[in-house]
This record gives sequence, C-alpha cells and structure tokens, in this order.
Amino acid sequence: MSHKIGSEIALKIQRLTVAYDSTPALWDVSLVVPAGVVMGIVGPNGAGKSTLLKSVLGIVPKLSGEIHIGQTSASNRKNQVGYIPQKTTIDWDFPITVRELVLMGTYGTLGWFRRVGKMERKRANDAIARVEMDPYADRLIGELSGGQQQRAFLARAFVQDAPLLLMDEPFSGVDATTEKTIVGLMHQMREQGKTLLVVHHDLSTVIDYFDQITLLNREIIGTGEVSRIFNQSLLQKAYGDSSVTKHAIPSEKLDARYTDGEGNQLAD
Amino acid sequence: MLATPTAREINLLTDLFEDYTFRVVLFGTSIIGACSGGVGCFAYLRKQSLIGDVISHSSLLGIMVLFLLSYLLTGTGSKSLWILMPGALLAGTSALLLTRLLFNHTKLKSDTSLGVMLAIFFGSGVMLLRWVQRASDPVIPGRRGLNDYLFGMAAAMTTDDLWMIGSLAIAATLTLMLCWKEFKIYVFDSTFTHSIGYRTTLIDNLLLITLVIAIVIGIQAVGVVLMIALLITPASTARQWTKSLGSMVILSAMIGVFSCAVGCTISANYANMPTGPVIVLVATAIFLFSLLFAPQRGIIARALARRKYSLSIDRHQPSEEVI
Repeated sequence: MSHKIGSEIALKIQRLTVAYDSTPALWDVSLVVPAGVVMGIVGPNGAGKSTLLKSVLGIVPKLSGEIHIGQTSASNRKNQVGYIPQKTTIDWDFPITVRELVLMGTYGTLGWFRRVGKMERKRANDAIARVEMDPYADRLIGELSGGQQQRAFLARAFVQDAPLLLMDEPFSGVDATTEKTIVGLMHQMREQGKTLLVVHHDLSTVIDYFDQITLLNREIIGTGEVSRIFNQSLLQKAYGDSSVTKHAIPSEKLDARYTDGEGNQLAD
Repeated sequence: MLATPTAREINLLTDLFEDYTFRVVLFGTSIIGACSGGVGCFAYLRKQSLIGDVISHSSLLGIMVLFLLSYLLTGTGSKSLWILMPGALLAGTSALLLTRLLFNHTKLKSDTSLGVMLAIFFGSGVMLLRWVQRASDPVIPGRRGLNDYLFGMAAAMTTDDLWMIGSLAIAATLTLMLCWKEFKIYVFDSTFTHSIGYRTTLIDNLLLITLVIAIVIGIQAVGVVLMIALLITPASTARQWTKSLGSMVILSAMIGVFSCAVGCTISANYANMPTGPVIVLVATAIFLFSLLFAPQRGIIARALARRKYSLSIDRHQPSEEVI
C-alpha cells in the first residue's frame, strides 16, 4: 500500500482542549493529517473520537487550541469538510429519497435561497452512479439496507467534493461485502487526492484500511504511520486493558507485514 | 371557458355563506389551518411538539398583558388582534429564549426547561385572566369573552383580525418558501448543514419565528390549550400518506384547512360549541382514519404485510422438516 504523501497538510490541530462539563473530552490534542491519506481514529468508548470530528466541524465549542483546515483557519470552513454522520444520529424515517439526500451535497456551493438546477442534478446522478445506487435513487432512505444507506451518504460526500472527509464509524451495521465496497470507495477518494479521517472500531482491519492512525483516549496516545503506531504497547496504553487488544490485533499479520522481505502476500 | 365555472362557484359559495361574519371566520380559520398544517410538518419532523405547546400556552400571558396595557392607556381593554397579537408573539418568543437560556446555563434537560417555562408563562397568564374577569374594582370594560382564548371562539373574529392573521400567515408562508432548502437540510441533518458553511443558528431562529407565527395566529380561533393539536395532528396525518417533504407539507396544509373549515362551520351552527375542540376533533378523526388505513404505514396495511410474511414462512416449513 505504497503511495505518495505530499508535503501538503489537510488538517492541523494544535493543543485542542474540549470539555462538555467539568471533565475534559479532549485534552491538549495536537494532530497533523497530511493531504491524501486515509487516517483512522481508534480508541475506547468515550475517548472523544466523535468529539474530535465535531470539533473539526466546529459544532462543539473548544476551550482552547487552534484548528486549521488546508490553508485556512477552521472558522472559515465553508465547504472544506465533508461529513458522514454516525448512523444512529440520522432520522431514517425522514421523508427524503436517496436523490434528494445526494443533492444536499450541492447545497454548500449553492448557498442561501438559490435552488437546485440542472447542473446540480447531473452531479448528483453521477455520484449515485458511482456508488452503484441508480436502482435505488428514488427510494426513501428508510427503505434501504444498512450498506445502501452508507453508500447514499458517500454519494453525498462525492457531490460535495470537499478536500477533507470525516466519517464517523462508517462500518457499523454493514455486512462484509458492503464494508469492502465502502473501503474501495474510500481508497478511490484517496486516489483523487482527498483526505479521509475515519472513526473506527474494529482493530483487526486497521492495517488493511488505513495509511495512518491516531490512537486517542482523551489525549493523543500516538499518531502517524500505522507501522509506527499500531503496536501492542501503545494500544495497551490507549485501551488500558491488554486482553482487549491482544485478541483484536492479528499480530502475526502485523509482524509479517512490517518485517523486511517476509509475508509480502499478506501485505496487500 | 375557465371563467364561467369559477364565477358560478363563487356564486354558489356566496349563496351558501351569505352571512358576511361567517365568511370572515371561515376564511380566517382556513388560513390558520393552512399555516399551522404546513409549518407543523417541520415541528413534527424535528420532534418539537413540546416547543409548540410552550409557545401557545405562553402567548396567553402576552395577550393578558397587552389587554391590560390597552386598558390602562385607553380605559377600555382592547380585544383587537392588532393589539393583542404582538403581545402573543413576544411572549411566545421570550418563553423560547428563556428556555434556551435555562437549558444552556443549568443542568436541566430540555423537556424540563420547557416544562418550567410553560408553568411560569401559562400560570401567570391564567392568574391575570382570572383577576381581570373577577375583579369588582376595577371592572375592566371589554373583559367579557377573554375566556375564549383558552378554548377558542372563531366567531369573535373581525375583518380587522382577518387582515392581521392574513398578513402574518403570508409572512410565515413566504419565509417557508424562500428558506425551503435551508429548513429542509437543517431539520434533516443540522451537523452537516453547519459543516457546509450555513449559519445554523440563523436557520434555527427563522424556523422558530415561523413556528411562533403559525401558532399565535390560531389562538383566537382555536385557543391556547389546543393549538398544539392543530400544529401536530395534520402533520402526523400527512406523514402517513406521503413520501416527500413537499407533498407532506401540502397535504398537511390541506388537512388543516379542511379541519378548520368543518370545525368552524359546526361551531357556528350549534350553540355552546367552542371552536377549538371541534376543529381538533375533526383533525383527530382524519388522523385516526389515516393511522388505520394509510397504505404501508397504516396499522391494517402493516398487519396484512406481516400476515403475508408469516404465511410464506408457513409454506416453507415442511421442506425444512424433511431436512
């Protein structure tokens, strides 16, 4: 999985602290995401993973720190960030079709009062085709399977075409085949130079899915290339319980992949 | 070709409803029904019925305060909507703003904060109402009929009131049409809306003002107690039958108009029938019908679908036994 990582920076977070109540949800978090990588955010429940995404989106007030998206400060985030929400936060009974959902990806460039036109419709159709959802374009989102729902939201992100895409647990509730499709689409976006920041739970797939990884437990435990960060001792530090991590990491795979000249077939 | 039947229709209508007062009332309540039906869909989809209830109950305090103010200034308590409506709008809005303040600065949950505000505003409103009505010194001229604001008295509507209701309804409808795309995306996914650069607090405030207007114009005809039903019932009825936000809003507005027209006709023809409960009962009847008979979402349709599945499972059972 070798590819070039440019010197450009997609997201830079400096000394970010966020607190909902008296206890901090994120403590002194500093993080750099280079442009064109797929980065996973991994950590136990309540580690502040979703909070981190929401801080980048600017929905949770920060106590201190700076967030820069691309070249601009995060306060000017107009259409710089795409977002695929956690499934549970969406009202699936909302009367909206796949096509309408995908069209929402154009609203950012349209701005206030301007209506969806021919060009927007074409862009939406292209994105729907790209995630192979044509047959379901006029279905209500509530009538879709878990995987189709996830693909519909991916299409919205395609249409939006933001350089940075945040995904909150995109694989929860989808079957293995769909998971593969979604990963394929994620890597496709990377090939187009997009940067993806993905909250992820399944430790066993980390090596296959991500270029870089951030281990989070309120503060940064480690961040950088998967080969450097994804190891027993840091994971234990993040989860605080060796039994969780021991069974979750396919250690032979890890060793095989990062040992010179061995297990090349496993690496891809 | 087109003009002839329209003219005849108008003739028919005028024959039927010769009474000018009744026409005013019918027209007024229809506007109210359309407005609350349409705007109600957004409250329904945002699961904000309780907010609507707080707005309508709180407006009673605003009405009482402005009534007393007009008495202090002119010697007679005014019941013109041009005087009372601003009070109702102000009271409804401030109840919401105070709820937000309470929610943001205490550990109270949002429904608790709403409940507290409803108690304060409606409680003081009812207290003032009682005092104005019972006080022997001063006996405030114009106090008769104030009670109607609790359960609604459409017959009290004047031409002047109709103009007030109409212009506010037009303002609300225009806002809804102009900000359709913004309201839709915000109600569906507020986080995403924020992330693509919209000022979500602005959208939220516009939506709330539209909601306040839709509720407050109805309190004279429907009453503060039951106005919430006219907001939510047509919307939940329309949701049973429709698959898009546009058709839901239009159908809901039509159900609102129908309920109000039928309700106020019944109320005008029979003595001692407060308009509010009658309108709400009509709307509820349509709702119950839809709950039972709507395709796909209706109780009967879903029971039939379940039966179909269980039958097909039965049919497959023997082959499993063979294995």
